[in-house]
Amino acid sequence: MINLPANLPLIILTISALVSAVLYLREYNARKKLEGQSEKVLEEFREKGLEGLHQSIQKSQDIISQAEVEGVKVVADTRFHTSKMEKGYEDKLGEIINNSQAAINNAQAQLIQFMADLQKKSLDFELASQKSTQDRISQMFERLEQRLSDFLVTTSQKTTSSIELEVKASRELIESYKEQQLKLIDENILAMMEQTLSIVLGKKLSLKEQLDLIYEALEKAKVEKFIV
Amino acid sequence: MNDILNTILETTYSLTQLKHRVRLLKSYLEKAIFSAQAKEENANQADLNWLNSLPDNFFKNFNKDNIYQIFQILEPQIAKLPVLIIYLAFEADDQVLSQLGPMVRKTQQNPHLLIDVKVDPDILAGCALSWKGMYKDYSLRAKIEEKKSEIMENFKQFLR
Repeated sequence: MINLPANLPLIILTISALVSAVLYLREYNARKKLEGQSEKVLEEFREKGLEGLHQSIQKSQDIISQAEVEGVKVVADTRFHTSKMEKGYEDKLGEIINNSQAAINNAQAQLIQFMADLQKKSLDFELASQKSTQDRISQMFERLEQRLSDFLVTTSQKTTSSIELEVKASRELIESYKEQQLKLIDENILAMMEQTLSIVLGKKLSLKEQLDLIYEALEKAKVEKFIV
Repeated sequence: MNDILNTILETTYSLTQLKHRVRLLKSYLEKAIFSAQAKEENANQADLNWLNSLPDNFFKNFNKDNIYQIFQILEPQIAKLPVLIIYLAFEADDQVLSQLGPMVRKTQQNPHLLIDVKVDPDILAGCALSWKGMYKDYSLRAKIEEKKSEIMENFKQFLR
């Protein structure tokens, strides 16, 4: 085995640095050269460009002037045509206006006529409607009167018959009550009378009157031969 | 015997009165005959008046030998006597009885007719009689009953 010197990395590093420097320089020179070349090319391109530009400017100025001329022409044509068209339009418009005016007048007259007819028809309709309404109202009132009259007659008859029934029932009730009371009186009147007499006669009849009545009773018994 | 009874009955009208007077007479005679007392101490004035009203010869019918015999015969005879029951509307006292008795005997022509007075307020006035089990109403009540229909008609005339 070879024993490497301790400065090997340093050497390697140095070598690398040298190589890099060489390469850098080389690259720098190439670039410089290139830059020079490119400047030349650029200069050429610039000159060509300027030239082209100049040509373009010229051409555009030509075009512009031509365009201006053309433009003037167009403007003139346009003005002519425009004025012509305007005139045509004016004529046409006037015609249209006249026609419209006539149509409007016509329409107005028709409208006025129509309004007049409408007013007349409306008036006629109103009159007819009024008359019809009056007739209907009259008919309604007549029907109402008739129905009211029928109702009143029916009600009156019903009421009368109902009242008559009530009166009849009341009379019958009164009669039956009267008969009942009379019957009660019939049944009890003698008892009432006897009680009244027993109260009254007991206090009112004197001994002589009592004896007279007894005498009368004894005479009657004698006549009937009750005591034999 | 009949004379003794008839004498007693002359002024005695009701059965109750008769029984009372017979008891009174018996008591009086017993005292008069057996104890020589001529007065009846327990009698009231009416009884004494009656005893005094009896004729003198009436008491001569009695002696110590026949007194009890007489009364023994008398009492059954009294029980057999027919009695007219009179229903009155009021209570009859002795005063009423003294008027009623003769009236009954006179009308019925029976001087020894006995009456028995009972009270019936329902008859109102007059009297009802009962004789030998037969009842007849001669009172005001009977008259009202008799005239019932006529009375009712009269009442109904007021109601119409």
